[in-house]
Amino acid sequence: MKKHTTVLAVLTLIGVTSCEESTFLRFDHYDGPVTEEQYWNINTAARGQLNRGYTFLQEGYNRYDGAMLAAGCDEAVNSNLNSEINIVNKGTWSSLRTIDGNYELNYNGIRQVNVFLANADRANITPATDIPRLKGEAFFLRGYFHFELLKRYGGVIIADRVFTFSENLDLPRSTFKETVDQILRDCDSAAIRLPLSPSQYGAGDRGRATKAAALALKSRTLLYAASPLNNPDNDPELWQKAADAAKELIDTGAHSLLASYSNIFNFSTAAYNTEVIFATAASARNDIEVNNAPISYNGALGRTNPTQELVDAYEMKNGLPIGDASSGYNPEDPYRDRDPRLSWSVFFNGSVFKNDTVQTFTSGKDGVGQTINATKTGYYMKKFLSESSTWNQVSNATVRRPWVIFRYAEILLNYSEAQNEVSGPDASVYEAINRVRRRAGMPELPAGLSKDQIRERIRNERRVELAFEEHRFFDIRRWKIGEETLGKPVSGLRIVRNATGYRYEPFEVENRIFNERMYLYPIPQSEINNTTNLRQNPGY
Amino acid sequence: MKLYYNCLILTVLLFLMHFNVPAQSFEGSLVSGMVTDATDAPVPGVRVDVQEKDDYTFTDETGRFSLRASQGDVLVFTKKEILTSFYDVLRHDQNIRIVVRASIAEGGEEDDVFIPFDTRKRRAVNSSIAALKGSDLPQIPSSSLTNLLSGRLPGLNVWQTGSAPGRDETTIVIRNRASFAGSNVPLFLVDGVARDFSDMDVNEIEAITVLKDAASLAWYGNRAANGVLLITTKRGSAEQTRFTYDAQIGSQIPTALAKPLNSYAFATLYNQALQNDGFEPLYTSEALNAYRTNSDPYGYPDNNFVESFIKNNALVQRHVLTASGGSKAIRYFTSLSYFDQNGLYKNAYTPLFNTNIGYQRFNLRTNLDVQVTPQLSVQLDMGGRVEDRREPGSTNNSFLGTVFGLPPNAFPMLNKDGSYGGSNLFRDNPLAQLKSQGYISDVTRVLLGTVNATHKLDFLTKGLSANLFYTFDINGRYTSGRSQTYEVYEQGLDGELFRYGNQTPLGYRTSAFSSPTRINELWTGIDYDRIVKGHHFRGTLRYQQATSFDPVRLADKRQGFSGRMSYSFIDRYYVDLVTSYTGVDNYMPGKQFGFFPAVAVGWVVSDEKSLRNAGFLNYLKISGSYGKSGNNSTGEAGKFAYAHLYNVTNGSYPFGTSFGAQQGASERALPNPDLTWEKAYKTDVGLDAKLFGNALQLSANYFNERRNDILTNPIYPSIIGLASYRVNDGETRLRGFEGFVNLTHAFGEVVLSLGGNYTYAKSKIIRINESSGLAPYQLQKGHNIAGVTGMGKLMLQSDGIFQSQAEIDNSPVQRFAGKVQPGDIRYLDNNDDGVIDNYDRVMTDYNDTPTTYYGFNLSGQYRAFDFSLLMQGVSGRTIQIRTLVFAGSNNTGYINQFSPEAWSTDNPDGVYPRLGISDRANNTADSDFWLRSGNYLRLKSVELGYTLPHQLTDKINSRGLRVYINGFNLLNFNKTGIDIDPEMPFAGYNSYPYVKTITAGINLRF
Repeated sequence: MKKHTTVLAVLTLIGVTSCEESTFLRFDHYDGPVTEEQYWNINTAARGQLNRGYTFLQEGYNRYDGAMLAAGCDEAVNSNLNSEINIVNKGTWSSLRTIDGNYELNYNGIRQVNVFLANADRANITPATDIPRLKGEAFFLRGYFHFELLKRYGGVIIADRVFTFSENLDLPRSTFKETVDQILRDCDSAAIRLPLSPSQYGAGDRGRATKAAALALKSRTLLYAASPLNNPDNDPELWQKAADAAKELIDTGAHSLLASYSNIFNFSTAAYNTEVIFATAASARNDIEVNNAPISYNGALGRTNPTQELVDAYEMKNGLPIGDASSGYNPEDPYRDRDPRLSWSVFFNGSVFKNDTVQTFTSGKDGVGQTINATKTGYYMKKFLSESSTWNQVSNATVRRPWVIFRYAEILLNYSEAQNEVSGPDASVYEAINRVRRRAGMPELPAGLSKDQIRERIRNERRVELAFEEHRFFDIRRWKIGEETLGKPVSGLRIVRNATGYRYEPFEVENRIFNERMYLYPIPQSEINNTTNLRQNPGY
Repeated sequence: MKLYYNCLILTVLLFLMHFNVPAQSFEGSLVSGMVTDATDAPVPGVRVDVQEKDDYTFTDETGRFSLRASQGDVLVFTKKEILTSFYDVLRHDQNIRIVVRASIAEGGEEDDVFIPFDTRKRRAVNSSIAALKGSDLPQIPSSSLTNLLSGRLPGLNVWQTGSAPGRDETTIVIRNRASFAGSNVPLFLVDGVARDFSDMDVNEIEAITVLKDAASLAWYGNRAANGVLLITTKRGSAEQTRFTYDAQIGSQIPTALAKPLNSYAFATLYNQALQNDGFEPLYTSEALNAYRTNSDPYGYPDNNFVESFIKNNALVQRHVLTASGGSKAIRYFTSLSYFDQNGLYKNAYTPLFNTNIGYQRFNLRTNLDVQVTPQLSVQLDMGGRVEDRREPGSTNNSFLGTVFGLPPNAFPMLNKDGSYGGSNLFRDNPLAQLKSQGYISDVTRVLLGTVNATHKLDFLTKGLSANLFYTFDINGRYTSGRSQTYEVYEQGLDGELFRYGNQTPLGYRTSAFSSPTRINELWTGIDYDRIVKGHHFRGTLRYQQATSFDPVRLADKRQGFSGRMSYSFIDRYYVDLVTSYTGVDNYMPGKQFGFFPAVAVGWVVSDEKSLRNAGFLNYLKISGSYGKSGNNSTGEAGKFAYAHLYNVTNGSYPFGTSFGAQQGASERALPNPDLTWEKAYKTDVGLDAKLFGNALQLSANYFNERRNDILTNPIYPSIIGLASYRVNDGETRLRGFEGFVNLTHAFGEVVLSLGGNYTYAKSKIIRINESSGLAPYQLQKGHNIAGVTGMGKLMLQSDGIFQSQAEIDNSPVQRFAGKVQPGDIRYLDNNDDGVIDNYDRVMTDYNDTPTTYYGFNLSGQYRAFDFSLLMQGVSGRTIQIRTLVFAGSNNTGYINQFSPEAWSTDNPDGVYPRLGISDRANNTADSDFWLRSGNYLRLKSVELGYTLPHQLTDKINSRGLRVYINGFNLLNFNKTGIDIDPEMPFAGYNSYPYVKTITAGINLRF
């Protein structure tokens, strides 16, 4: 019996006295990742932290399964009738049915740059003289990400430091003004540290933030802050600041309009042309064509279909709106003698692409109803599409294209709009908008327009010049004209071929719903549920 | 509940103790006879008992026996692996002939049960262990062994999740899910180490043991809380040399298969869908007419792709040769098997190769036992297999997606000129996918090696021995094949041809080796086994370490000690203590090891003097166990989730005019330094009994598991800007009941055996991190784990279909689609706010993991004929059919074979909501409208066999020849009301069909 007890005791003893710190289970390295100390000691890692911040810049080519934001406002209809973008068109938008993950995405981007800013001064970046510039880029990105939140949600929680779990993260939202002020501070911090324009970077670093980009962000932020949605009392001081900010950028002379409108987005040969102030990286792609080219082009999906309302916004070549009795507009030949930007931005019946004619008449190969993907309006989007890209082949040709975030034409229009509100249509207001028109091959605006008249012309100019560039969706909101633009049906044009030519029949494509609350995005319900101090936007 | 069972057991005991039958004095005359099997071959070693008396004997080599018994006595014939038989003694019985047959399912209390690194007689097992002998599994050619286990053991829930050749995967859950963090997959061990077993051949297997309670799982420490399936392979016997040959050949037949619409029906319904949404119809009346009359098969094609490409049967065959035998010094078992499963695709032959999906497998195993010295014995085991899977070059999923997804009028399969048909919308041509896209070959090679040496250490102390166990497993996969692309042509309106895709010549697919893993596992330690005056001491202590190497990652390592002490007194009272102290590498150093103790006790009540002669009660044991086990396979990515680390490369960004990507770098997810394993505390109370002269065998077990430290998402606002690892903050409970009953009786020459097993197990979430802002009716807490696949468990409650606009106007506003129309699903306003939105979704208990599952078998034998069938069923299970009813895409308008039953003004009794092409979110929302009962009862297997008379087989020196036919998955009973198999509701509709197998086979023994 004694023996048994001994054996049992030995078993128990070995079982209990064991390897609390086993060398067998220990690894002498981390299989790739490094510790914080090592990380900031590596030049490429420290720089990489900032570089990664850029990857959170979003493109608008393919927001939701081929849909662009243009299809969420009166610019276009998405040919996929079940697209997520319809959540905003059908009025079913809510905190539980959001259309994008921007709330989380932008805070993710902000953390990247905040981590860089918190450690840049101790990082082993060589040469150390790059550090101020890199911090300038980080300030710009932080401001930009906050602006992306601001334009969607209004005032948000300001993330001006690296948040940790140990602190109270149940923070209330800052006001709209506080958020604007934070963005402006970041713009100023960026502007003093950054080179003026892309050309001052080496060829390998073009595409990084510049002082001009910081000024452009400032211009756009202030324009939004001065606009009716956010400036209900129409405080002229705010318009003045917006005009000044645009003018500051114009006066640097760092950028100019590119002679050819159609070449602005053709990046395969001329990356970062003089008009582009800031854009995302140019990735080699053909999905823009796959999603948007007319359906007869090797099975393209024909997604973004410009509305008749957008097409009608393009003036005649003589500078008169088509509604003007003396414009010479002929509804039986609607595309003749129009603003040249129409044919650069929209495929209509008879447009030529890849040496082939686009047929949007009803029995044509791209016509309404031809397949489920066929245009719903009678039009396809042409802007951004490249002739050199190929798809659905064994090997496809892709074309490098960025998503242009700021370009000079916008700044001119920003100035024109803000200055008109400050001073009425003075010469500088005319000059700014006319520069944009002249470049497009359009006559100048007639002299003697009233402040209200020229406001309407500026708004139309923005709509036409910046079509599909994610401006209209937000411009409508800041102008507070949602009810009259988004709360009504959009239409298309049915073209019937007959013996003598074509017959044109406008038709209603679909009804659209707009509510007061839709001026702002809903904050995702999961965020509200996780906190107690975060307030939802009104109406959601 | 626990208390209830305890009381029940106690009551039964007290009741039984009243039957104190006094021992009788023994007299009687000599009774003799012979025991044979159904083929008249003698059966040696059968224990013959005189019931209720103490006398017994064994049959000799010629199957003969003799003992004293009186008229009216009952003789009981028992032996491992045979069914217990009975004989009523008449006066002066001489030359009784007893025919016995092999037993099924759970064995007798003298059977060996395999436990980790040891065996026990069943009566010595105090924990909840279910065991099945390999020989009890049907000889059915199935590429996955796990499929055969379905319905056979209590507490083992097996359901099929795939059916394609070589991919008929199953999911196995022991009892039920107890963790919401991971997959709840049990640990599969073959001969003691973690190895995949579903690709083994059934003839390699001696026994399958399912370890369910803490006392059996504590041995494996932090990786066994989900239970263990312990597979033991066959070994040779020194008695005699034996050869067997098994062959089966059969046919696999789809059970449920889509019946696509014809083009006319499709086009009509497509127009209806368009019109419902206010669009113009796409198909003109001329087109509809052309579809109806099939006047222009090229311009207006009408295909049935399912019929054109899915055969109604496919060949399957299996051949196995085994040899076993040896001498006292060396024993061997060796097996070689070949398995071949053909796919169901038609038109898959090209002049150079076959692109039909298919599977071939070779299994080889040799298990050697060498007695090196009287003290040292060594086992050398080698198992290997080669698996060759083939599929179409387009991939199997893509091909089936085309076959099931194309509308009938998509295109003519071949154009007039013989080119492949295609269209702007549909460019995948299934014929071209089989004929002109090459094939993929995927070869897996596995070699499993084990050395197991035991040396007696009696010179130190009697009963002591040392053991060394080491495995060397390697695994590799090689993918190759041929590849090609094709072009399709569409005839335009004015006759011109549009081409889509580019044809390329046939080439070789890029071939690649992958997952070349090597796994080494070491167990070493000492064993002690000694009986002193009725006191039986047994102890086992093992040190273990295991490493899994793969060149593309850090090695996975674990380490620890496991120990077990068993004590029993006069084979009546049992106590086991099992503990382990195990560690694994993916936790923070210092937090890697855990202690997992468990205790089990057992009492053979029927051996107590007062019960020894208690009439109908032959055997009764009660047992219980309690202890702790862990689960570390909870799916947290990477080894270093406990450390705040940075990736020096993560994403890059192409700056500059030359687009040279510049490196990105970033923080990794926020760490959880306290990361640890799940802890399961399991209580089991069980009862095993044999009644009425062993004719009735039953076992019942109650279990209650509490599991905590389950990983759950931390709740934090997104402003932190970074994902975080999960935290160990969840808790669940799982409790239920399992048991089985076997009843055997002989009616003259007919022996019938009826058995059944039953398991009820229900999980409940006690704690899980959820947002504070959620409404109480949307919380998961208090509900069960997981939900319905493709639907979850948070859903709207439907209230029929809107019949009129007036109904819509009088109902709360439904905010899922811009416009609600008659024919749309009506939902309940659960929060009474007059608006129906996602706030009206409620958390439910619907689940496609059943709470109850059961099986029952019936087998019989009459002379040389034998018969068996197994029924298997589940209940408490729910599936969704939304995936079926809305199958399709924008391109097909979601029109499919279920569309004719949709609501329309002409069909107001339609069971499904109206057809529609845009703004469909109202009807596609998660709701109970789409739920159907997932319960089913299945005729899992049925077999009829005939053993040839041994006078015949003796002539060819055979020890036996049996021929049989069997069927697998022949019938299914369910309440879905549609032609599907609820076990895999979408099989045959968007994936490979569920199949039944009909086989003929022979078993030849020498």
